Amino acid sequence: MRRLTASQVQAAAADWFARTLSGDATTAELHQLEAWLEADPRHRGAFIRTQAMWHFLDAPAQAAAGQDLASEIPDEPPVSQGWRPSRRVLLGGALAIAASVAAIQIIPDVLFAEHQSLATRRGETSANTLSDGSQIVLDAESHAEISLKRSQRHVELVSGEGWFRVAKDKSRPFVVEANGITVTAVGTAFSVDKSDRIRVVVSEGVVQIASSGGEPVQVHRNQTAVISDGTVQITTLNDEEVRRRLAWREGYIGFNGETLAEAVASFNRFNNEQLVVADEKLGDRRVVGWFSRNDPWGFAKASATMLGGRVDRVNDRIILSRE
Amino acid sequence: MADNVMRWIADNLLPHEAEVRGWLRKRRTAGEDEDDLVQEAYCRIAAVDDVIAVRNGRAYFFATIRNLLMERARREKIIKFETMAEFDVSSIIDENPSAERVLGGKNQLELVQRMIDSLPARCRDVFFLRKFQQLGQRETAALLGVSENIVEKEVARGMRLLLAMMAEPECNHAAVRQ
Repeated sequence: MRRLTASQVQAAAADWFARTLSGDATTAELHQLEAWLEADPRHRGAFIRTQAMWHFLDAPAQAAAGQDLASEIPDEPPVSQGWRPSRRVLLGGALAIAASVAAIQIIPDVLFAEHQSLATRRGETSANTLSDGSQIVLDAESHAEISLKRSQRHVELVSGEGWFRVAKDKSRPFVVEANGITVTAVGTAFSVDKSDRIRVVVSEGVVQIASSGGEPVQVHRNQTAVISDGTVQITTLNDEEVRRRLAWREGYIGFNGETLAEAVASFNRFNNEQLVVADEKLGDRRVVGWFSRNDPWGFAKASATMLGGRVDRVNDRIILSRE
Repeated sequence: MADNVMRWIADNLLPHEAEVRGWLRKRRTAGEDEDDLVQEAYCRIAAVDDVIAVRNGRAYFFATIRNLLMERARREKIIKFETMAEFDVSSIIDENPSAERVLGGKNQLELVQRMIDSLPARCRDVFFLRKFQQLGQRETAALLGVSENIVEKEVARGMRLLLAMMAEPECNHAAVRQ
C-alpha cells in the first residue's frame, strides 16, 4: 500500500469514522476498514483519535440532553451561547424527538491490536522495547512480526533469531511462533533461533513449547531445546554456556569447540566481508574463544595463530590457509 | 474497542494533544513528522492493557512520544544501541501540569462549544442532530432535507475540522482563558 501523508491518513480516518457511524457500513467495508487499520499504526492511531474526538464532545451532549426542546425554543440556550444550532434545527430536533426516533450508533469493535514489524539486515542487530515493557533483541538477517493484543502478545519469528525478555503480565501470555512451534512465556527471557532447526535458549524463568501433535513441554532457566520433526530435545547448560549462546546480543560470538568451518560460516552470515577456508583439514580444526562479530579479520588472525595457519586478503576476501 | 478505553483517551490524551504538539514543534519536529508521531502514539497507547488505570495521561502521552522519537532515532542510526539507557522514559516528564494546561469539565464544555460554533452551518446542524440529539443518519438527513450521503460527508468534514482545532495549542488556551 502506498504510504499516505499524515493529513491524508487523518482525512481517511474521518471518512471511515463517518462510514461506521452511518450504520450503513457493509461487512465488506468493515473488513476493508480492518485491513486499512492493520496496514499502518498511523491509520489505527488516526482512527482512534477520531473516535476519541467524538467522545470528547460528550460533555455538552449530556448537558444538551437535559433541554426540553419539545416545549419551546429557549431564549437562552441552556448549554451556553457558544453552542447554538440554527433555529430550523431546534424546531426540527424537537419534532424528531417527539417522534422518538433517536438512535445511538455503535462503532463496531474493530480489533485494536498494536502491530510492529522488525527486520534487520546483515551485520546489524536491533534492540527494541515494546509498549508493554518487553524487550526484543533481533539478530542480523532476522524478521519478526509483533502483535500486541489484549488477550495475547504474539511474535511471529519469520526468520533468523530473536531474544525476548518478557514483561510480566499473567493475563496476556507472550507467544513466539516459528514454523508452527509456539514458545509461551509469562515473565521470562529466552531466545528462539530458526536458522536451521528451531532452537530455544531460556536464560530466565520458564517457557512452554508446543508443536503440532506433541504434548507441550516446559523448558527452564539454563536449558536449551532443539525442536525437529515434532520432538523436543532438552539439554541443560551452565551459566557460561547460556551467556555464550546469547553473546550475539552484545555483538560478540563465542566458540566452544566448533570447527573452524562452522565458525567461519557464522561470521559469513553476519558480515559482508567473507572468510574462506582454503584447506579442508584446517576447516575441521576446533576453535575456542569470544570474538567481535563484526571483525572477521581479527577472528581470522586469532584463529590462524591458534591453529597454525596464515591469513591473506585477496579481492575483498579473507583467505585462511595452512602455513 | 471498549467504550471506557475510548472515554479514557478522550479525557486523558486528547486534551493534552496540543501541548504535546507544542513540545514537538519546539524540538523542530513539526508538520508531517509531528502528525505521524501523534497518530502512532494514539495507536500505541490504545493498545496498552489497563490503560484506564493510568492516572497521568499527559505524562504517558509525552513518554510515548519520547519512545517513538527514540525508536526513530535508533532506526535512523542517529544514536547507538548502548546509549539507549539514557532515554529512560520514567524520568523525563515533570508531573505537575500547570493550571492552564488542565482542561477541567467546565473548560471542556466551553471548548467544545467554541469549536462546534466555528463549524460551517450545515456541518454544525448535522453535529447537533447526530451527536447531541443522538438521531440516526436517516432521520438527520430527513430533517435537514439532504441526502444521507451529505450527512455522512458532513460528519467526516466536521471531525476533520474539530481535530485540526484540537491540534492547535492556542485553541485550548483560548478556551481556558475565557
